[in-house]
Amino acid sequence: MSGTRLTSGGLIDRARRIDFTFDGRAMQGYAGDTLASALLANGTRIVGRSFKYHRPRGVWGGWFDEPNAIFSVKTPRGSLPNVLGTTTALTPGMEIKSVNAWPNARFDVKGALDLFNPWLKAGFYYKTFMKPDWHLFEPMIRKMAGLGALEPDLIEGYTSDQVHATCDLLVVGGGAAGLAAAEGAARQGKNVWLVEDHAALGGGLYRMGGTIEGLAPADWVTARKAAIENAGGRILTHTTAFGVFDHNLYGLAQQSALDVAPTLYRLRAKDCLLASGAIDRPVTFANNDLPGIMSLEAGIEYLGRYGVLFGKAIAIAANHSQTASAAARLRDAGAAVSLFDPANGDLSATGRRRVTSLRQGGRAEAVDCVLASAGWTPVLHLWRHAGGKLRWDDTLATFVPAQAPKGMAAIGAANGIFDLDQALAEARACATGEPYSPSPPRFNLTPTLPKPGAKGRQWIDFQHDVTLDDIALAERENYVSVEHLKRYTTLGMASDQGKISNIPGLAAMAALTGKTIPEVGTTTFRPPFVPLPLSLYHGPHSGQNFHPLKRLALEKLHRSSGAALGEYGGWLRPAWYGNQPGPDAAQSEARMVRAAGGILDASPLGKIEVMGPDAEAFVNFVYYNTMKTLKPGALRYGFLLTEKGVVFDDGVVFRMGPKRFVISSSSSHAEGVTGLLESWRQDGNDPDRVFVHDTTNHWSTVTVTGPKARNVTRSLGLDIDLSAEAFPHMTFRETSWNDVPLRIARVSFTGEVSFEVSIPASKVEALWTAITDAGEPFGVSPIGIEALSILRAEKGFIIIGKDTDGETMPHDLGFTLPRQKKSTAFVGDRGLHTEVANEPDRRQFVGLSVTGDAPLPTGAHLVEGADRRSFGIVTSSYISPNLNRPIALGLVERGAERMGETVTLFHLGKTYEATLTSPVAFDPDGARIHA
Amino acid sequence: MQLFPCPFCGLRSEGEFHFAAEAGKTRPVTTRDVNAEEWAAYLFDQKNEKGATREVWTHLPCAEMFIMSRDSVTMEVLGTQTLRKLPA
Amino acid sequence: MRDDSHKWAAPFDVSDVLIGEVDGKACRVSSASINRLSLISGTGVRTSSQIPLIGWPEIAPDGPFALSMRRDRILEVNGSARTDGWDEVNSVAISDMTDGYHAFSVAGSGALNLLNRGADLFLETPSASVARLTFGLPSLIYRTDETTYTLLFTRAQAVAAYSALSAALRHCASDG
Repeated sequence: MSGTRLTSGGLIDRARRIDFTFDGRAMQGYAGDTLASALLANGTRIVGRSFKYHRPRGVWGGWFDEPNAIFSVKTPRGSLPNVLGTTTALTPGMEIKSVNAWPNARFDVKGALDLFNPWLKAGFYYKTFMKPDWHLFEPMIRKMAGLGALEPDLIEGYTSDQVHATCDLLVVGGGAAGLAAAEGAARQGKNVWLVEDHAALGGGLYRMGGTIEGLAPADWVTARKAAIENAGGRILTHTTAFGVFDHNLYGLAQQSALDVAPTLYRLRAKDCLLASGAIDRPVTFANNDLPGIMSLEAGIEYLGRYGVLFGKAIAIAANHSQTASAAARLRDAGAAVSLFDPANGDLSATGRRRVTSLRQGGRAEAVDCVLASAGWTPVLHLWRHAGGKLRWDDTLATFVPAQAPKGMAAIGAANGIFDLDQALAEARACATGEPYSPSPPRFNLTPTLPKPGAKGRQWIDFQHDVTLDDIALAERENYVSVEHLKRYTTLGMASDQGKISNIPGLAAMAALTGKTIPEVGTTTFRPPFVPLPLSLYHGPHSGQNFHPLKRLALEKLHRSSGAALGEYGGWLRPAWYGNQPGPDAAQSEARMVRAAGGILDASPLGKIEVMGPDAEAFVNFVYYNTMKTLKPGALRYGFLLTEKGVVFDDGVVFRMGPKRFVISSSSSHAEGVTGLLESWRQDGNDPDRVFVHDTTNHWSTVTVTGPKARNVTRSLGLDIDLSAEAFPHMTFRETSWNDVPLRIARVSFTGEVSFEVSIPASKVEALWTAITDAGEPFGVSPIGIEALSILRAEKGFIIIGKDTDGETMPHDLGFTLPRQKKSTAFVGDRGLHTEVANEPDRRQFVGLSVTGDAPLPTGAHLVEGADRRSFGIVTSSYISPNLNRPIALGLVERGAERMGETVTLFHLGKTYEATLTSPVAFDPDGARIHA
Repeated sequence: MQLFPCPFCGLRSEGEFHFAAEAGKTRPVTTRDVNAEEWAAYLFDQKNEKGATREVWTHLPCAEMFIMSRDSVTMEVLGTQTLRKLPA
Repeated sequence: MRDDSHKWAAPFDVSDVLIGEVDGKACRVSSASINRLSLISGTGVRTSSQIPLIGWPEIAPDGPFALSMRRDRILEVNGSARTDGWDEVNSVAISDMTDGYHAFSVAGSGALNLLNRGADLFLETPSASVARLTFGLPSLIYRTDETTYTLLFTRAQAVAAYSALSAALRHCASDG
């Protein structure tokens, strides 16, 4: 096989040679080549093996309509799988490998599979591998399935850029119609974007030869481009409009090089002109998948754009009026061309590894290439994404645009206009709104559709090896709906997505069922129009930017103190300090707090201000607990409920004054609580009389807790009396420290005397340093969240969402009074008296005293009976360093009345035993908290 | 990605909005007896209409709750209406 | 229970500056300093403001001004000191939020191009509010001159915002 590159012609730059390899063989191409055009120029016929039968396959299409030329490509930057050879620009140093073939495409060991084809019909997998169990076969089949393999050499920095943009008019397609339309609209002053997926503008112009409006195609294109850009239009080449989404949002993918992640444009376009052109339909005949058989469009595209004449003896099997000009171009380039009209009888190709002849009745031509065309299929994927309708056109034997979606019109070949002059006139009129009278089309064809029952293997879907027989089988087994047909036979699956196989497949089913093609219908067109890397969708939203955590103002100090950091409720917080293993560190920190004290960064606690004349009534309404009796200077623990009566958050309410409250929500809930308050404010309350400010970010909070907390806090020198008498539990004071406002509250999550000190965030480093310095002589140092979790569990203090679930109501937690007594309306009030809320078997909050030394697994079920019915779960479980035994909390059916009962627990095959107790394991009288 | 018109901010992308409720529900006065049917209707019954709908949405950046009429089939926004008292 | 410290880059320094090109145009991201921020809510707070009220894409003056956030809420920038709480005289709720936000300045002819990586923010689409989601994070964006933008993110999300801005600047460097 010799090279097929002509010495002149095409858009390639013969001065810039590019070296590459294909399956290890050194080859040369030129700048401007695609992988496919370069391979064809080097005489490569077999580019891969088919998916199911491993049949040898060659290049069929000229652009995105290519089922076979899929490669693994290694560039100097790294490897990429599943690269479509017809649309990928060749760059220096590429190592191209065929896929689905071993050792390579020319000689494929699995090619023997083709001999088994009588048993590998549609539905083969479904019928064969169900018994005894699909999972027995799955590993072997998975290994055989798929195309390219992932290579370990990831490309550094392969991350898509993502851009939001708007324009007045988006023109999709930079062929003749698109260029003419974009020029017309831009000259009218519209903000026009034109996208073209090839590297060069011009679309099909390079195929036809001759001139357009008196200019050579390249000159005409240059003139249009200049006119568009001079009028302010923007042209993006190598850019595919891959999807249309709600409210005129267009997804554009711009590819600069194979190994650079494409840029995503989320373009909001007021209007869109679809000039996406048309592609060739295959002619369905026996052995129509042999290497050397390609679409007529592709044949002259490789000639016109890349200067490649793939055959010396070419047969054209086509049915329309543009056949003659194509034949003339090929002859001019030096090929011998014979013409076959599919209407004259059944065609069949022969050859083993490549086509060697084409026959029709008694006629046979020895050929090295067959170019086939059953007519043009307008590319209307975006039209369907946008909700446009299709109409079957009998004269063109294809679907053409019918009712347009809002803000979109189709022009040129996409609109079924295959005559250049007519397409130009229509495009200009459509873009400018000027009148236009259609001239009669100068294009005609004789419909050529697959004929069920025809002899030989007639390939419908080259990529998934679906033949006419497979469609007939699907019909016999009643998979006649197009969506069933697609899934049963895999017709139109994979990257082809029906681009070339759809109409032959539908036509075959129509013929088999005696229906018309529109009656058979089409499958749904979904974005993306072409396969795209996942990076396009996530862009830089990966790694740390995927779900960024909130960060503490004190993080730098924590890091320098050797804190281990972890995620707690959306914040990156100290888990423990020092070099010990985490569990050990948490135990020592928890022991230290009860012995002396600890210092905690509690900044994530919510600080949500509620202010205004109705603030008191509002806070009383949103809280389960009565809040209107709260006095300024005092604070109260309480629950926020959903309307179902389920606990949404617990927190502490500070009464700052008659018309001002601060809600200290739990740490992970500040935004959720603010949202809840804001929605109740605007729904049923007077939003002119109460206002909600989330000031959580302005304040940072340092908590000092433990028997020495008062000694440590005293050293701040605040002008307030910290004694238990003057400053009792559940009160707060406002003062200042070094001229900075400071709020100090006595509230405790550890069961020890605690001072929660809040200060504007920019001053908290000074405060933290002062407190930790003051703590040192008392043996009081920083603690992390892990120690805090143990301490609060020792005291039976709940964490919402951990010790409660989506059904827990306050009376399940022992907070019954407001449910029985609160006289004013509150959120969730009626929900607390439904049948479910009154159910006697509700799961209630308990402690579990474990038999033995091993802690219970969190999530273990309390079980009863032979069938191990679950009647509760363990929600929290720790080893208590202060009690020297495991402790646990849980939600248990009728738990409150079952204290002392011994229960069996089950988790992952193991059984445990425990006794139900009060949740408060440490200091049950609460003497320490008031000290 | 749809574009929704916040009555205060103007057109913003869908990601800035949260659905709140179907429009037209009023919280029963819970200080008097509310029977189970009434409460269930308020909490759980949804019309889930196909076609023209009236819904309450929140524009998160400005926290405005408003009524949006839209078509649940075509995704067309038919109009919005503020729930706030506007100065005369 | 595990230590994830190494998975999260340590917070940036306020003196850190990002310089790059976006679509071939220069862009510089740095922290900006603001002396005082007061969050003020009230029914007539936007109309009764004595200082310029800034929406999108208006240009903020050098002196004190008020960012229009909501129908009933402004954020006063560099205004006079105020007392937190309910102001009976003016019927407004006031909270000092000076430390609640971190300000970034995004400047240069490529500044808007960079912001378009994170938000559908366009000069030709005005808005009564400067509040919007940028890179998925709540933010306030206003202009201080034709090509300089100030972005306020909550303090807790400033590191996330910085990381998103620097990632966008890095990934669009190969573009254009």
